[in-house]
Amino acid sequence: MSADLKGPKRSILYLISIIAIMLILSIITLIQAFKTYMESGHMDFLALLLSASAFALSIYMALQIGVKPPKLGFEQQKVLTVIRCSRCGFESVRNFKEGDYVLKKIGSCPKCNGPSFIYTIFREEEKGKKKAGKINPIPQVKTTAPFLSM
Amino acid sequence: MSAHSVPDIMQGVPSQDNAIGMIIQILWLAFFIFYLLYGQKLQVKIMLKEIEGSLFKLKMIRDRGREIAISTVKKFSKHDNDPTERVDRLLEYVYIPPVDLDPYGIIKRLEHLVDVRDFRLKDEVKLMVPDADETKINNLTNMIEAALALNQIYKVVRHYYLIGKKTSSFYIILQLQMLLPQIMKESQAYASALTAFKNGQPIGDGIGPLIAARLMHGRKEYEIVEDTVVSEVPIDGRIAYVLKAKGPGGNVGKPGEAIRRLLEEMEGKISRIIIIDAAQKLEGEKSGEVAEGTGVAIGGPGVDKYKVEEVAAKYKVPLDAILIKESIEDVISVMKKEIANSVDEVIKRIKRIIHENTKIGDHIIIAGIGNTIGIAQ
Repeated sequence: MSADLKGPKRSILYLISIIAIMLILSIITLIQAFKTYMESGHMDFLALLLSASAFALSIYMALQIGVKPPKLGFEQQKVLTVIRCSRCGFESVRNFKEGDYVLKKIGSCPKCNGPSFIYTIFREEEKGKKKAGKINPIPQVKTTAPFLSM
Repeated sequence: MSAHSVPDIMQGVPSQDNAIGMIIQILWLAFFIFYLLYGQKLQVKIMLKEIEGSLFKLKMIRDRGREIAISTVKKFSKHDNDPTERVDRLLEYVYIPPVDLDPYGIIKRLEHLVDVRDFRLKDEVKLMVPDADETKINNLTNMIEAALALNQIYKVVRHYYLIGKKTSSFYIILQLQMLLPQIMKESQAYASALTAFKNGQPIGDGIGPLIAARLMHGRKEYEIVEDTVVSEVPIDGRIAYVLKAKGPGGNVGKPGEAIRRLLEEMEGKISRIIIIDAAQKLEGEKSGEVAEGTGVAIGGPGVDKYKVEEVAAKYKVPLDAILIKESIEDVISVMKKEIANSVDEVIKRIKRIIHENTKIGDHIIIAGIGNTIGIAQ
């Protein structure tokens, strides 16, 4: 790991000072343009354009400060366990607990007192989450999906 | 300046009293010359910056994966030994594929090498957590494999980044930049897989074993070959030999060898082999969609596929495949609801195939292929 990279440093104070300077400059330019217009009746579009761009850029940078750190894929997902009664078919759903697995015998049915087991375990996707596109696999983790050259 | 219109100034139309226009025109010309001479270098710099950002993210994913692997091993180890050194060594573990210059007997050699690699990884995990049960050892082995994949991805990307930077080769950098979105998605999928393996949750690839488990539920099973179990299940007057990897630990078993042995034991008196597995969906297809086909739907290095094709051809047994469509992300992350919901549809199709193609009293093989993590029998 001798050639490991240093991560990009992002100091909030540094960004805030840049935003402040840009905002001040854009406001000064705007006042200057307004003064020129009032005195000569001529609108300095170039100054106006520069001011608007600086203003937009500073707003964008301010929004970037609030952006959450990037998702790495290790985030906890909502995983549910479905328990079914072998006798009456009654189903109940709860959050996944460590040690759960499909077909695990799990107590008795609250309705008929029959034997219950874990029927299925699945992940429920968060609403509004973007769907991922097709990607190629890398031959490491043991899966057996066909067409994925492992 | 006031005598000229804004478009004139912006376009740099020169005139005696238009100094700004002149300056802008000179600037345009300077920019044009600069871009002509240094345009590609500038582009390379911009691309390298972009790659650097992604590489940093890959490093974060790799490091987090390593941390999780070490902390999980520590959690299950009752001894005070620090597993860091051993985990780090495993993350650098290299698999060398067999020589294919002379392809004769390559399947046997490939199988041997894959087995040795698997045993070695499992043995290393056993040494770290000697008190853990088989399920835990299998899950931890899978988790370390996911961490290993993350390490390899990071190192390969870093290699090409550094080569590109050293040589300033536009084409190396361009190729890397074009591939990066896919690589990032793959890395996130592996990160998700690592979490699923850590918790012992079923993954998308487990849909085959899940269907087999549903069919086997309540029946007695036996281990036909290592890590692979079979149950005799009567379905509408036929006898189905339903097989899957032995769960609930992370394991794919040896379905090829199991099918070969079943066919040899039955002297080929099997009227149909139905193989159920997850398959990569194309963009636009929905996760959990079911498709049918002919052939051996088994991924992996090809050993199992080869064995089934060989024995099926020997005894002229027809092969049916039932595929459940998934993206690569779905395959190695916790099973999605849509995929889990496809079980009933697949069982319906199995019954239809059996009804249409076999007679009462016939023997058939139904194989649920995939990683059976979080799925027992």
